[in-house]
Amino acid sequence: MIRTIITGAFCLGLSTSATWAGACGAPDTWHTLTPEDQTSFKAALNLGANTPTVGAPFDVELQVCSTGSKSLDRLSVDATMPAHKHGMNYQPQLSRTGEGQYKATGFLFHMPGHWKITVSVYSDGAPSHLSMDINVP
Amino acid sequence: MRVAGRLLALVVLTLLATGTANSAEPVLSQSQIDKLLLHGPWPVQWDRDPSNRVSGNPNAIALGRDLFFSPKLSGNGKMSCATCHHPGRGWTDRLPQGLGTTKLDRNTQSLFNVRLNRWFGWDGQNDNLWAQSIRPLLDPKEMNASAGHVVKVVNGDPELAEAYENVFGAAPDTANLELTLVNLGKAMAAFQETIVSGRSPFDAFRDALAKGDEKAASAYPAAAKRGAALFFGRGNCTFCHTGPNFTNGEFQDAGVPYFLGPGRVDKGRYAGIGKLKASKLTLAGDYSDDPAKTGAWKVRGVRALHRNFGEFKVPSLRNLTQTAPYMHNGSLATLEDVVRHYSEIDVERLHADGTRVLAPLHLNDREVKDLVAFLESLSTG
Repeated sequence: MIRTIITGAFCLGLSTSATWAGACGAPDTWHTLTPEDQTSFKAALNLGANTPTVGAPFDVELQVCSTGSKSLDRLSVDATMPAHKHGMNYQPQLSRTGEGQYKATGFLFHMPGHWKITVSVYSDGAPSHLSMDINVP
Repeated sequence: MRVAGRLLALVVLTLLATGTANSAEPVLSQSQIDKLLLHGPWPVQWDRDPSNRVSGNPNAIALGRDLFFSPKLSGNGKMSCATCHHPGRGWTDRLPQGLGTTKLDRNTQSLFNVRLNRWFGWDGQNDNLWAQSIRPLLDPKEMNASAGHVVKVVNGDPELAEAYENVFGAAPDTANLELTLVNLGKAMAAFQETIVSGRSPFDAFRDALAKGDEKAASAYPAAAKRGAALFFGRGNCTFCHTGPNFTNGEFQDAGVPYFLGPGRVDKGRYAGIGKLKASKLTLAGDYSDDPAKTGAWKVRGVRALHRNFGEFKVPSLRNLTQTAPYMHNGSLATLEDVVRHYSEIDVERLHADGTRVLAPLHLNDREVKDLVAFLESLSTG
């Protein structure tokens, strides 16, 4: 079972003056992802201070936590343009940075418009998905 | 900047209203101006290539220039890099397809602003400029040389050998031909990084809009303004031709046939990714001088997708007036041909689902000329 994120946050030495009202105890400046289907997990994503620019690589931070007794076997993250029905030209590289904390590098949105970032969590072999929408000028 | 943009939108409308026979015709909407402003300022900031330890080095640039213009590096001693990438011809050769030891399958790309590329070649088979500089040397269809020949030429020329030693701290190593060739590629890359295009009429217009300079903005031709409205509006050209360099640096199927002849196809990006993954000369490899391997994410993360078949690199639109003909196979002779190609594009041959990235625009003759005028305004000469 994933421990609560607050423990992980202090382990990272993050400022205790931040507001931790986001999903999984993430700062409230992070984006809480929306479940796409039945899931026992919550997730929050940090894009950083700026909206991604078309054609420029960027990284994201993730916090994922279980809402019950389910344990996380693995997870993946990707992005698509729903209107064009295509994804990115690159597979983001995911690394674990702490308990329930991850960094995904190598995102690149190669067109302006509506993108959907999706986190897929796998537990007991079954996937579920959480996502957020972003409009890139 | 946004407030200035709104004021200028009003100004642009007013200027047209008091001017021509099309006085009631709106030109640039706020949405179009917002997109337009993202295509500058120019020039963009450029940082030295960390994978090339001699990037930006004046001595390396000088050595690279000499190598670039030397026909001795080629197998027959008659062909230099500049034979195809001619400085007086927009750093290309103005042929539909390049000519090496034989006629090539693709158009010679211009080297203007090559330092800004994420990928190199129409198929992006290289992720860095120094590897791309070596490729034509070794291609039997192009300069038809070998590492041994190139190193022998440099070593046998006292001025080149001295310049090499001055830059790299040791004489050309004939026992390690690959390393020496990579170093020579890095010098040539350092030279090519100096090939940049200047500011264009579009850049002056863009900056005038950003500053709210009504007088400066009014100098931009009316036809180019109407063309800009198409480019940043229903043309959706900015899906791919985006940012200050007017390219997203990636690849697209633009509806240009890729059949080369009976039983032959140009696989484009699909083949390029295959060559990239097989190469030792990538930003993830040992020849990168960047200990952090900053650029390695590209080769490590790039996906080989079915749709890559027939995709080719989205070129910059800067200095197009100097680099005809156009498209990966040089099949379109003029900018008007290019615009008409997109205007009447056959979507049935594009393998795409969902909302079309490319769709026929059915432009009338004046709209075609306006869009050409806009494209011409991105050039400096």
